[in-house]
Amino acid sequence: MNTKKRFWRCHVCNDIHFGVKPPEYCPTCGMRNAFVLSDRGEGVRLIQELKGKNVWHCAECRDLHLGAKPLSLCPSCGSKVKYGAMDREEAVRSTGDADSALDTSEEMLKVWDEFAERNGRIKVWDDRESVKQLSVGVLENVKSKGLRYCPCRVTTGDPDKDMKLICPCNFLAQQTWKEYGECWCGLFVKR
Amino acid sequence: MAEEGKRLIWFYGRECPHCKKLHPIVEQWEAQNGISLDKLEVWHDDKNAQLMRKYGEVISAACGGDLGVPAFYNEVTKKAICGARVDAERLTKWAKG
Ligand code: SF4
Ligand SMILES: [Zn+2]
Ligand SMILES: [Zn+2]
Repeated sequence: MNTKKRFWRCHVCNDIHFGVKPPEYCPTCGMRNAFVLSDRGEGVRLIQELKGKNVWHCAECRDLHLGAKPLSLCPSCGSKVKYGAMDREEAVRSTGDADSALDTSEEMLKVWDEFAERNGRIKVWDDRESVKQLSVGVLENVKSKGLRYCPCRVTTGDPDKDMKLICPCNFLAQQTWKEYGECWCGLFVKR
Repeated sequence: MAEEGKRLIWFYGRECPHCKKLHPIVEQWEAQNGISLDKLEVWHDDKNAQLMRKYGEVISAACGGDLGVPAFYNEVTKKAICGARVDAERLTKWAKG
């Protein structure tokens, strides 16, 4: 088992967890198995810039969580002591610099497969060629726009709104999900 | 290419799979109808993205809330269609309506 702390992001509400494991239920939106593996670039950017949330930490193992509410069960060490508040910049510093970037298509595909597997209600589109193309788009967007934006939508220029376009986004709220059981780009489909 | 204000525009993304699948369908439709769309890529060309944002209200309504691609905007009628399920029949209605 991997014991390294990594960044995880809730695809529904953009909470960030820095730890060995993400929480089963997101403390902010309540969704189950909603965390997807992220990386340092994205995690730090959200910790610094996402409005309306605070950073909290585990006194036992120093896991961090950016959210609207503190966790009361630490997913990494099992501690039941409520997370304490922490300054955003101090939080960023405490994560060190060890985490490596997810910057290849192979890694993205693996992250998406694992996310869908853990989630249990969704799967990745079986058209691997298109999935690969989407991973290339997402990575190009990181390079040119700084975040893993959806390749099938356009940023508005408003950084707060655009944070909703980080892939995987909250596709559960999309019309295409309700109507056809697929995210806007087709990357994730209902199982 | 039609003059500005009278164009039939297709906004697409280079890495959008639905756009890629639509390319041959659009080309065939263009040939059959003697119509040529202005094809504007929006992720690798900021000017095109800006133009799409300018028509943002109509386009996002057609896309179910966001500025999505593939999106088709008719500068004359100011109508848009959007999404993976655009086909030749809908293109004809959009272009001529
Ligand atoms: S619509 Fe699909 S591909 Fe686009 S950001 Fe959401 S999950 Fe990712
Ligand atoms: Zn959440
Ligand atoms: Zn802990």
